[in-house]
Amino acid sequence: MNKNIKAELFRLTHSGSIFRIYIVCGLLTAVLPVVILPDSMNQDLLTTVAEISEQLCMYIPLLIGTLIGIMASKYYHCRLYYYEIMDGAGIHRIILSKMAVYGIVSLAVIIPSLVIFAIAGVRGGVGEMKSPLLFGLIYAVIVFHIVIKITLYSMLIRNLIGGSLIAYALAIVEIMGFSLITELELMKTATANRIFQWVPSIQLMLIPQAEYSADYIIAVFGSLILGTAVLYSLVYTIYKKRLFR
Amino acid sequence: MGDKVLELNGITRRYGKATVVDNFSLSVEKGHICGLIGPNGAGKTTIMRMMAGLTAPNGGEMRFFGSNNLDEARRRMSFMLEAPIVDPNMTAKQNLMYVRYARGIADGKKIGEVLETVGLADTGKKLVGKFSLGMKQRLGIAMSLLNEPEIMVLDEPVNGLDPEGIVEIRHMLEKLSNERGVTIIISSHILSELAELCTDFTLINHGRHIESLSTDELAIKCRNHISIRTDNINETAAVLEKKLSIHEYKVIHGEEIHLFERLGEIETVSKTITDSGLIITKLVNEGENLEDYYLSKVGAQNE
Repeated sequence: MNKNIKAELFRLTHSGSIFRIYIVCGLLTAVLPVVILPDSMNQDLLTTVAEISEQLCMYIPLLIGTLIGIMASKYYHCRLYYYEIMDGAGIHRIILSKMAVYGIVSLAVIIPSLVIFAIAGVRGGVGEMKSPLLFGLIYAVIVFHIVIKITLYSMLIRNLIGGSLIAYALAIVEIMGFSLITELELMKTATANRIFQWVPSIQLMLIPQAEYSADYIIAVFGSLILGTAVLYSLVYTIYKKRLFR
Repeated sequence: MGDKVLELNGITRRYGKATVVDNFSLSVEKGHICGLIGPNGAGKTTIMRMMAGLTAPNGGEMRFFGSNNLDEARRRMSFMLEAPIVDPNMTAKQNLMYVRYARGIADGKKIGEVLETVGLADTGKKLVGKFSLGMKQRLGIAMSLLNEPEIMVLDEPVNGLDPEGIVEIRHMLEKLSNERGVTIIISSHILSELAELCTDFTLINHGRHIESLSTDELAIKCRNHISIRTDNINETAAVLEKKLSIHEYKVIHGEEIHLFERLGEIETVSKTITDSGLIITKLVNEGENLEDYYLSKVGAQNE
């Protein structure tokens, strides 16, 4: 295994209790399908999803994002990142190993809910776009996007307080921006949805509506790729120019 | 002349309009222990950060082991900069395990050995956050020993250690240098310790290289002299030149004369001065040490 990944996994599992808290909170995602798919697997998904609070879809990824931000930022707070640089590790290797560690860690806690969605999907019949499995997969991609974004932001900010707050700060900015535009009718709701569905917080708000249009799915995957590319290049520049102070 | 394992050629570092390191050059031979000496803010830590790759120079060139592939070379080096880099929520052993994984060190047995070397073998499950400054410093040294480096760059490694600890670390570094040929670049404010330990000294002030000298050269420069203080130093210097034809002397801060000749003729010197109507307030044979030499150099720079 890549030595940087090994070192980071070791640090996560041995340094303080934040990782244990993360596992417990992360597994709350398993609550989601239980809420979405009550007693009977035969209930129409649209109706079921409409009954749950949109905030439940939102808060769990925010919680995961905040905990990831804390874990990733602690690495900079203690200056442990110096060891990788002083060891002459390549910049791509450093960034990709962090993305790999936190990506793996986040997907690991989402797997229980994905399994439940998959079971529901198989039982309920896969065929329509609005199956539970599709819901679970899209949800996993959005959560993965948030985690990668928070990881890269933590590498940019390199500050424990900043890293801890960035997940919520971004969500507030994104949601407030969307709300202001729709409330003040600065553009039509449909247009606002089309634009803002490229933003993870709004993707989470829209996901319970289960309208998995091609636009929406392209936005989910496209925003993951585009957002990652932009942040990756910023982090790479910081490391390349050694702008650590 | 040994192999040069570390060469800095005209490196410069600016932060905005402030030039923190100004065209600094240094070369260190294999197995030598080079002391980097300068006041606070002289640029020592910035130079070491540039060696470690944590700060990029604005100009100049660095070569390690004769190569400018610095990332490759840094795998054969270790650095201890500023405060020790540790995770306070892990034990000493766990911190070393982390470094072991981060640096890809295969041999896990080294961890026990380095803990023993720095005197932290008995810390058990105590978290590093509860260590004293001296213990953290020892752990920092242990972390820099783990990869068996060929060059060690240490920024004030004995800061916070008790006197016995300082002597232990000095002996350990001497052993590394003598037995394994490890090259060490070290900065410290405890000049007496550097004088015991180092084979070379480099003085730095305001980011600029002032002087590099070996211990032999230092011994010649810090040679014995007669220290003289009178009620009129300028006139004393004139008297010594005129009446005793003395030219090898130095006036220190306008208050004292260091006389490097006629060392066995202190009574003659004394009589000549007093016969000229001057009042002697100090007349003694002395030798400069590293601290005096450094202060005379840095003091002259700052005047």
